[in-house]
Amino acid sequence: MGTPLYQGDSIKKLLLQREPILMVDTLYSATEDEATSGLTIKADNIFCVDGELTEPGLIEHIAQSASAFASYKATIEGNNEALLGYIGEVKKFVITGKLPRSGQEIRTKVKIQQVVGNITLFQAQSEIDGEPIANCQMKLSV
Amino acid sequence: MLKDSYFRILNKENIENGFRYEVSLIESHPIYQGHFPGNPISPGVCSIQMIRECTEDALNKQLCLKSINVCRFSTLLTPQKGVHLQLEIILTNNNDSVDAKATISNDGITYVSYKGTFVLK
Repeated sequence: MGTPLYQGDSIKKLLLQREPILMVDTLYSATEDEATSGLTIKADNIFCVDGELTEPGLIEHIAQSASAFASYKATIEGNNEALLGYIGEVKKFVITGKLPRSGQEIRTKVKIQQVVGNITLFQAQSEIDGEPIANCQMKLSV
Repeated sequence: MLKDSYFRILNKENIENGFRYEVSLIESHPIYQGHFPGNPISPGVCSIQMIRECTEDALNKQLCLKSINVCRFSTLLTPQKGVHLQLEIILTNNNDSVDAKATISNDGITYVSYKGTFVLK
């Protein structure tokens, strides 16, 4: 992978969430309908218990990954502001591996399946070191 | 994780095949500083965590969130002082897992409907 599109402070151009619930730190890449995000877990993450990111934290990371992608696509079309994204629905969420630990990086691929008005349906898969840990479908309202 | 910092359990009663909790949200929780600045909105994933923690309370067991069939956030939830939410959970015990169907509602408005499976830690 080349240079990330957004990383660190610049990710705040794509997301309105702030500390302590900013759950994406990198947008690695994006195409027309797919993007890859990253989050390195810090021990003081609000969703961490005993150094392990709990499942709701993982779901929030996935939702913000989709939100960041939606904002990025809007940026391409000339929009200057981050979009406010809400989860409308989580579907078929499954934990398939070990939960992320402090210091590890989650990489998540989000793929748009359908857009109806301001609601995007997408599929997401999260991995750590190439190993899948969770996947789901999600509806996001922006 | 969230009990007594993000939400409080005010009341708990048995219902058929499950439990009904009365909870209130704590407006001063630091999560609202970031979600969103100047516009506090209760994160959907925190509703999922509330459902999990109430189920843990009901069963007196620590649980892993294994899967969610579907969780619908039909109405935006905000932390309003004095507002009590009803959290109803219907549980089906399996060998080493428990299926949960839950709703979070108040005054005829459903905020969250949830169907998923927990596994004992």
